[in-house]
Amino acid sequence: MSNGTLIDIKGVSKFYNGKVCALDKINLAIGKGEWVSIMGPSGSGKTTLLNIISCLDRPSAGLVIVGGADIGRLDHTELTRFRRETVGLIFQQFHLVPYLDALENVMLAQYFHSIADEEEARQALERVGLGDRLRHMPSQLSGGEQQRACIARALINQPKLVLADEPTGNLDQKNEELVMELFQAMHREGHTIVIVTHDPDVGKLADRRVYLEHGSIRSIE
Amino acid sequence: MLKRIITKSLLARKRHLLVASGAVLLAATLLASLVTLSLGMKAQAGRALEAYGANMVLLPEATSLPAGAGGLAFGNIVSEGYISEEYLTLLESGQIKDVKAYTPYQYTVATYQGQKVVVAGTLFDRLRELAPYWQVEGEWPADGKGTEDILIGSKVAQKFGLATGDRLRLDFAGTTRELTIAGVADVGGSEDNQVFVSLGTAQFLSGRAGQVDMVQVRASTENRPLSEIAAEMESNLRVKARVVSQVAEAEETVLFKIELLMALITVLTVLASGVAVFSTLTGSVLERVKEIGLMKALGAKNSRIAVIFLAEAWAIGLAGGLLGNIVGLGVAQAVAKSVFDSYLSPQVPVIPLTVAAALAIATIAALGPVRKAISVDPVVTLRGE
Ligand SMILES: Nc1ncnc2c1ncn2[C@@H]1O[C@H](COP(=O)(O)OP(=O)(O)OP(=O)(O)O)[C@@H](O)[C@H]1O
Ligand SMILES: [Mg+2]
Repeated sequence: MSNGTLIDIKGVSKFYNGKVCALDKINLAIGKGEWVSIMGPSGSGKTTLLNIISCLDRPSAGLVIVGGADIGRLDHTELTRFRRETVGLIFQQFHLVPYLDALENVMLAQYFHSIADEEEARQALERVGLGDRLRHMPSQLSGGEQQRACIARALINQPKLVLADEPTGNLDQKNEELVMELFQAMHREGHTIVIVTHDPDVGKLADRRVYLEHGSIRSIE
Repeated sequence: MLKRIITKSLLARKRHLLVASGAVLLAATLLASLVTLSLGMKAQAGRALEAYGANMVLLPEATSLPAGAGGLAFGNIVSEGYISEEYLTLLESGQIKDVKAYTPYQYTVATYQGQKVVVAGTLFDRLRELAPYWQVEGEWPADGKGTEDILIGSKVAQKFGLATGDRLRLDFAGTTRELTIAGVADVGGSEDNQVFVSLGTAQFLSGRAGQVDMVQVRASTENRPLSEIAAEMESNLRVKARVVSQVAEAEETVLFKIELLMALITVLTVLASGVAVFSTLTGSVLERVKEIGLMKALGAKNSRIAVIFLAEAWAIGLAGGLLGNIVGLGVAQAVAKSVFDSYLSPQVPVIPLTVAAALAIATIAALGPVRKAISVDPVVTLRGE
């Protein structure tokens, strides 16, 4: 599936407060269009790794190259720009803005990226099956619907890289399946996907599974 | 989109905003009413105080006459110095600003029925303007060198049993003049013991043409303190300028104290409203940490996040400022009505001034919260609870 490397992580370590070692000299390359699951016990550093790949955080040591750009060399503003142009984020807690309806939540990402386009946002929501929920507020949406709105928001700016932290962690079986279908569609469309998950069913959909333990890679399969 | 984000986020927080707007409203109300009152009152009080006559006396440079006509006794009048009438053109032409009215005096002593009386030569038209509170029974005499009409003080009238229309013969160091009493003035001061003739007549009789002994001046203290005006007089007119204490000082200190009090109250309210805006916005930022983190994760520039919170501050400022104006002007008019028994003319600059001040308060109070919002770390906020 991969034709070239999108993400190259070399000897990346992350210390919190100078002592807690969340990641310990990680080496990992992820190809363009590849789907990788990051798995492992709680506290093993999965979220930390995802934050570094998504440019939300910087490593304490090591090199992170995404799409040829050395993330460690970018300043705060450049990281922000990189994030908005390259990365689509999906969260376990959805993080929809509570006073904006579904459509506006998608448009928000467009607005921060460039300009809001209502028609495009509407199509994105239709694609995730929320065509009849455009004007619903987050509080009026079920967990599964909120997660699908979140996915529509993550995809609206055509990111090369889609990153998700426990996207099905708060969903029931039926909604989990709906959401995973969307990930499979993304995968077919050529998005590079990194998912952090506890769920083996979710993990096995990926091309590769990376198992973390105490901040190190235990195995890759 | 920004408009949508802002309006919706404002609506979502309208209760908090109302409280903060209320605080700004209070400050704006005070500011608007106080500025209106201050501006309006200066004009009003100025007008009211005009009735109290002169607030400055000009004396010849060389003499040491006690200030004020009231202090003049017979012996003191003899003096080497005098003020040349030429200098008065500087007052006349408005070259020295803030002079509202003035009148010159030349003093002589005359004898009437064997008793000495002080005769003051003055310009009646000017005197009338300067001292509108003089109560004159009969008529004000006309000015001019040839006129024989005079004004006599009420005590002079009493002492010699004189009344309006009577003629009297005054003896001026050898020359006797017969004059007609046009009016009797009841002033309530030493003027009641004097006889007033036209300046021209006095100068003719004394043989001191072109000279005056004293000038009473009423200057406006709206723009600058009297002492400053006095200093300008001294440097331009070759006179000694004395501020007449009772009226002038009272006038200045009363207005000054009122203004000080107003300023103090306003500053306190402004500070309080600033604190209210600050705490509302800080609350808003804290409440919305997740939202801010999300926006940053989506790649929002700092400026866009700042604008959302500044907009909140401006909404508070604008709402409070505009409403405060309306309420404040109403309050000012009510106060004016009860104090001066008249309404103040609307002070146009008050409106933009108050709104600008309210916006400024809101903006300054927003700086801290905005900085806090910008510094939110998306990593921490997006981490599961
Ligand atoms: N901001 C932080 N400050 C200090 N320590 C942190 C911070 N964030 C994470 N850690 C620590 O780093 C380690 C890795 O955390 P991380 O969140 O990456 O784990 P995780 O694998 O995502 O766990 P989970 O499955 O529970 O989400 C943990 O020991 C955690 O306590
Ligand atoms: Mg995690």
